[in-house]
Amino acid sequence: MAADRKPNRRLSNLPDRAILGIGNAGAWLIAVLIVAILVQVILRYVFQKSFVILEEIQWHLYAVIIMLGLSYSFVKDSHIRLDILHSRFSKRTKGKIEIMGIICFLWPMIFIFFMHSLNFVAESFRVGERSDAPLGLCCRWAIKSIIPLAFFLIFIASVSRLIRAVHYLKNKNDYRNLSDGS
Amino acid sequence: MDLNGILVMGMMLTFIGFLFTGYPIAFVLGGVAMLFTLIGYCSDLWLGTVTGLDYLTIGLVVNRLYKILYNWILIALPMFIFMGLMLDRSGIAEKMMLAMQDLFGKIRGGLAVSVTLIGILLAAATGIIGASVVLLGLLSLPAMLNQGYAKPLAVGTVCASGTLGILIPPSIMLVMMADQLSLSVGDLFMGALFPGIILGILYILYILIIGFFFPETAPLAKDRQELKLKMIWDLFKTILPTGALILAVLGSIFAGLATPTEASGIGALGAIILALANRKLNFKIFREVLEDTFNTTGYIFGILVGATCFALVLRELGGDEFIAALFTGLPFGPYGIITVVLGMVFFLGFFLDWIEITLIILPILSPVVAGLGLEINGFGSIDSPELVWFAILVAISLQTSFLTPPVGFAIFYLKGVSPPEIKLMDIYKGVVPFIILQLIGLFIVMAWPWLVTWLPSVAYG
Repeated sequence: MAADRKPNRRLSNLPDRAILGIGNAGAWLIAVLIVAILVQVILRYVFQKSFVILEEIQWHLYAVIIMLGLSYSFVKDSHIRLDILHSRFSKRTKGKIEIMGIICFLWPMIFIFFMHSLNFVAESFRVGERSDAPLGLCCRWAIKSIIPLAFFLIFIASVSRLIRAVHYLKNKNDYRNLSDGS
Repeated sequence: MDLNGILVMGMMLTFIGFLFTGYPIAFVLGGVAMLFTLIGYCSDLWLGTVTGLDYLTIGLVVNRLYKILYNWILIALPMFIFMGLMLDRSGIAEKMMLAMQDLFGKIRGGLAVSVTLIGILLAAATGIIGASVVLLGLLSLPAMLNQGYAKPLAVGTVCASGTLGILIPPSIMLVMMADQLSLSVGDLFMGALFPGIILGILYILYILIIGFFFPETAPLAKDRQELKLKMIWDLFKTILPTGALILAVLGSIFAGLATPTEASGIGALGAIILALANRKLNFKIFREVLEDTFNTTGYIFGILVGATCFALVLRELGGDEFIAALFTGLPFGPYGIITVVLGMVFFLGFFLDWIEITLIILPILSPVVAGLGLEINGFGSIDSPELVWFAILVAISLQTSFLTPPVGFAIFYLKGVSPPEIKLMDIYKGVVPFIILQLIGLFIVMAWPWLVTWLPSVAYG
């Protein structure tokens, strides 16, 4: 949580910049979500009308926001760490932890989510799943496909960080590129 | 202990062990879950356990994740985060601080009391501990130190009032608890109101008493002015907008007018309007707040994703029954078991944030608490009063644990923003009295559960 306001490190490589770009654009969905909720409130209390579509758009937006947010915070390195010991480790140790963490923890998790969510989306597409409400949104597969997409983005970000950590460990003096995560 | 028990304990300990590497908690949770899927699968093959874990079973995490996405309650979360971060940048807090300083100038400890009051208002407005401790620290520490306050008293006040944010509604933690325990957000918000106010009153009494008996720790301002009616009016004018916003958000939920999601959207708009009225809003700040919200939402849900994997595998390994049996087997009676549970939450709060505890521990423990047969008076109109009461007790324990050395989160947030002459030891010394106050507050709420359940019951009754 402390990392909220961390200054944006100058990022030299393309994948990270791409994900940050997607994130910076995605952040505007929050503004859209605010508007969607307010429109619903006005319609409901002023005009006594309610639209299922509007309500569904809200959770669709929210789903996209939180899923894209995962890779964004990964690149910004603001996922919460227990830093009692971590802050005292040397940069080399931190680099090793990053590499082990990505390979042993992050990648198995991404793999499972990605593979299974592809089936999940395909199944939804096959049966033409849509909202239960008659006036709701169609094409559930579209919103469901945010899951594999999000994990793909995290994967890209993790590869980029892995490369930087390995590079750092190989070239002791060049630590500029390691996002140190403290 | 049977083989399943060993696997469950093994999973817990592996998780805690790897936490200390400092790798992001979200991915440690997910990674350990994957590891124990493999271990469970192997132990099914060779050791004759029946965990049923394999490649297909673990795929259920996708369905679980989809349930998090297809969720009407949690939409309120990014909205409340936005509201908090926007108010943070609106300059409202600085204004309130100035106005209150004048008003309480003549009372010993008055400055600390105004810090507490602002802390409570901010708490209600932001609901994110990191944000309110940092803001409160930046605002008030220099002022208190200039006036000659004893360092421990000054930092203790900031830490304690800053952490009230997770308890005083609208708190994002309570939204998540409601989602996990299938309780109504409104019930939890209202249930938390009295306990939060009680804690605030305890803090203020403590500060006044200290100021009375040890005047040197809380000196008066040198340039204090006579109290004029205009000051009260000024204060009223500065507090009114924020107060009105909080009232609008909470009131519309409490009155059953709006759903928490609608109220959170209104809260977000209100924060924008306040920032505009204060001439603090421009395009750059708006964009930064959006990006901050996006980032914060990202890491909170990161843990939600990791914890979903962890909880699924733990359940498949038989963790729910194992832990439930562990607690119900304790020879203490219902209140004793609750105390042990809260003690554990307090201990876990040393190294876990509220998010992990809410997501992993609460769902496992809530059936235990529900099965204790506690006769908590719900006044006939709220569902599962014992769980509402329990959730609030957990919330107070967590808040206490964030204050507690050596590793309370609030302590580190504050250390990060305090001037260099404040040593970690000053903060440790400063929080101790407030921890005692917290325990008193916890005891009061435990002994008189109606403090939690009465308000929701009247509102909906």
